[in-house]
Amino acid sequence: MNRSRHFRETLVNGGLNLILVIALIIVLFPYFWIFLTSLKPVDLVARPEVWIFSPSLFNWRDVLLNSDVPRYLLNSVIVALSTVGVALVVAAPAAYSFSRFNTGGGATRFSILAAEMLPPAVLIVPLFLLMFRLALLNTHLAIIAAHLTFVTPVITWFLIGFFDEVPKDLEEQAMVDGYTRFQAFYKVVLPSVRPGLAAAAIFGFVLSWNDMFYALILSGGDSKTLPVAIAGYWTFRGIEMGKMAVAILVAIVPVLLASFFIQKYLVKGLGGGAVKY
Amino acid sequence: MAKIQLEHVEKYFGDVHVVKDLNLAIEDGSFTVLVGPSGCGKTTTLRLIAGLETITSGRIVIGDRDVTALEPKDRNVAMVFQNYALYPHMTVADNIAFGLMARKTPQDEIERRVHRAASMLDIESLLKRKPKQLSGGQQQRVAIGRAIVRNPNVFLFDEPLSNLDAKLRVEMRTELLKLHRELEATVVYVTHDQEEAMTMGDRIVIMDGGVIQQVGTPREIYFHPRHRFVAGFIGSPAMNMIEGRLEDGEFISSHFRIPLDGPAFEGDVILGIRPEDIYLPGSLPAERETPVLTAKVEVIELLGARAIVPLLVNDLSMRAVIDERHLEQVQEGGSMSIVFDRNRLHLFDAANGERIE
Amino acid sequence: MITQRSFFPFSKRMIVPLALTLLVVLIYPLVFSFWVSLHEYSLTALEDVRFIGLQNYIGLRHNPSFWNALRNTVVFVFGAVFLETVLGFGLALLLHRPTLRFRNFFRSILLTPMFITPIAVGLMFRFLLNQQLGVLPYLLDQIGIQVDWFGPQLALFSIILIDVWQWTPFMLLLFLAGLESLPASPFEAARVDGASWFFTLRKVTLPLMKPVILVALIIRGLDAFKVFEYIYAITRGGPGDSTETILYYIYKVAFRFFRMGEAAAMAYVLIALTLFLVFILYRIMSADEGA
Repeated sequence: MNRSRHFRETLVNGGLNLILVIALIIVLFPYFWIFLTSLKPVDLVARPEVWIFSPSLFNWRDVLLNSDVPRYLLNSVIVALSTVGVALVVAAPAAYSFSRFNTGGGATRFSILAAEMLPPAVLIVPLFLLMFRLALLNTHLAIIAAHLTFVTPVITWFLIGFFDEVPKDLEEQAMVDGYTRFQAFYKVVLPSVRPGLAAAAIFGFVLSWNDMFYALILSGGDSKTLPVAIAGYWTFRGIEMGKMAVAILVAIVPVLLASFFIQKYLVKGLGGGAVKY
Repeated sequence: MAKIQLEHVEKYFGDVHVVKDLNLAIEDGSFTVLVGPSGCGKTTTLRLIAGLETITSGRIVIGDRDVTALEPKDRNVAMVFQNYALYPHMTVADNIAFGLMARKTPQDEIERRVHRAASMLDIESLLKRKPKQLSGGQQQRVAIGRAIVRNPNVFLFDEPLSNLDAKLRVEMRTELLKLHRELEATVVYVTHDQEEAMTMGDRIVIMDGGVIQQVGTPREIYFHPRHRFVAGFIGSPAMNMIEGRLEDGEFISSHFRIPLDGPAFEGDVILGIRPEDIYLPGSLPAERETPVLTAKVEVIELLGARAIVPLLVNDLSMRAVIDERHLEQVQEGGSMSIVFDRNRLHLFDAANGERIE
Repeated sequence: MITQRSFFPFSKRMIVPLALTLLVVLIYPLVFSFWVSLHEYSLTALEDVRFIGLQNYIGLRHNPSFWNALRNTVVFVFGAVFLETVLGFGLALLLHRPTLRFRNFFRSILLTPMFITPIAVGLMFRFLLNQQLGVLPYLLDQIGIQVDWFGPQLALFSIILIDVWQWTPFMLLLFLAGLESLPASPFEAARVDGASWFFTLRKVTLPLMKPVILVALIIRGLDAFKVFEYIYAITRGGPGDSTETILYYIYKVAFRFFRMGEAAAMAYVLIALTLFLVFILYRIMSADEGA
């Protein structure tokens, strides 16, 4: 081997790896710090110079046992699950129709994307007034309806990408074998995109789970979702920081775990069949 | 132009040993074809010569230079890929000029050479188009143009015709050979198609399992396969292989015996007979005919001037190729007499597959 | 049972549930919103809703807060998306190197920020960057650097950096997938042809990645217009109105001042703006495909 070339390559590669490690640290440090803070005794929370201390579970106990955070957690779960459930049922057949029959032409896919991108500002005013008139403010239903406005298009968009990859032969075989069109869809096509459905469901769940804007305006009191509750730690009184850290971790850990499962499906879903790489 | 030498070349992908102690000298100006079943290491060998893969150990010499540690760009080789590897966003002219632009060749020089290459390949009218607007055959020409424009020492072809339809493939074979004569370049050509190898190569390298099985001219490979694998791989329909043993100069199988003169070998052997070396009695000089055997004719697959005839000789399945003129003596479901051409019998040691002379 | 081919075909029947849902939660609010935008519609005076035509829209022309919010948003969107695109592409190239070990590990971790609820990200960084409580100012202070992250000069920039932390992973995800799906042989051909790394990047990689880059820009750009949580969590628009973005301003007008009509009008201007941008990018994309 050519020594100097080899040496130079090793050097360059090492430098590039170093950049990645730095990026890794930038990503991980905030998690680490929040985790550290959640374990700090109350008197140390406001002191950034303290890195080593005997950990205390006071904050965790306080938030999980003596606060309303578990209730808000449950609210978030209920809202996200209901939203995803409804969205999947209405989106799957439509996505299949768009994918297989190109229903509505190229404009359909474009409008789905546009709906997904709609600024929430446009919808919040009428949704608020509507819920106000229907006396549905501060109920789960109001938030679910609001979340459907973006979760449904996203899931539809997501599933189009997966349906695009199902060979047409599969359902034609089923139809020749005596299934109706809908049976062919329900019993043959749907099961074959199961990973896609799961990924779409998880992604939709994450989107609903993460929303604060709609929930902030449409919910209050007992119907608050977790992000709205977290926003309530805004006051930044020193004593609250440790609890805030716990609440943040409670909100982000489930989502981070879910993210590892859906990462590899995400691209196909986000591309929505718009990009043929 | 240059000769290529591979000395004790080894290549591992992780734990997989894909090329095993490969030694090969490719002569200056030759058209050498690497052929073998998929996974035999032929494409890897080509990519090792190109420098797209680094060799695990050994040495590669192109011309007088040891290129083992050199990057592909410093080896002065050009490569034509199976899927052409054209840049979809560039015009044909820019695709051909890419290598020259990368080397910062002056603009007027680039234009001159692109036009010369284009005229050799008869694609001058396509220079302004994008690859998407071309047919498969035209894309193929552009890919070749990209190689010849650089005046490389060596041309490497990786199954370049396998994406073309059958008729175009045959045309392009002829054209590649013509081009080879014009350029007087050293060509290394990989294919899995033994017919393509036979018609194009002036030397054929047959590989299997990462090892070279035989190197030779098409004639040598066809008439004197040095290994049972080579015998079975080259020729279509494939050679009939009959298991048996040699005793006192006689081939004995459970289906028939054939007295042979010559081989002093004793033990288990495989007798190879090409389908085209099976005749009706009387069509060969008497001293070349083996004793007459009776065979049952299963079906007749007429190809035109010849027919492939699957036979049962005492329950042994064989295939014969019979001239259309003799077919009237043969009937499906009937029986026929056959003899083998003594001069064209191949014997292989059953233990290691090597040829017995 | 024999099913007749009907006038109302299967393909249309399949989209009925979606169409109905979107009609209720999307189309109706959109229309209602437009109706509201044409009225003087205040939550404090619901008995006195008056039709005023385009007055709400015309009024925006002379509303300095609206223009300020719009300007802040545009600065934010272009700054954040630009940085995210460049960093995302760089990281994607780094992760795409064949010599890299632990690629999946790096990728999984580097992608995590995009999955977190933005309000948590906002609070996290507010805490991390806080002058008295924050660990970053403390560390910087140790090496003699003092920065007021949320002061009048830097606040918007800090918000951009937070967005970059959270959303560069999104660009990375799309670009990495794009790079991985490019065929290998054009790059091998470039190697054999003697193209340098930079020449290959400019002449081969970037042109081949163009469609992916465009889609990423569209999705991320439009999403960035909706920035709200960081502002809500950290600055509430301040100091002064230096970080007041359009969504935050609309929120304020609608739910602090209860001027629904005006808020709806602003939302429609925003919609027009984003649709216009989508349309332009869509045109660029389809023009590209046609070539």
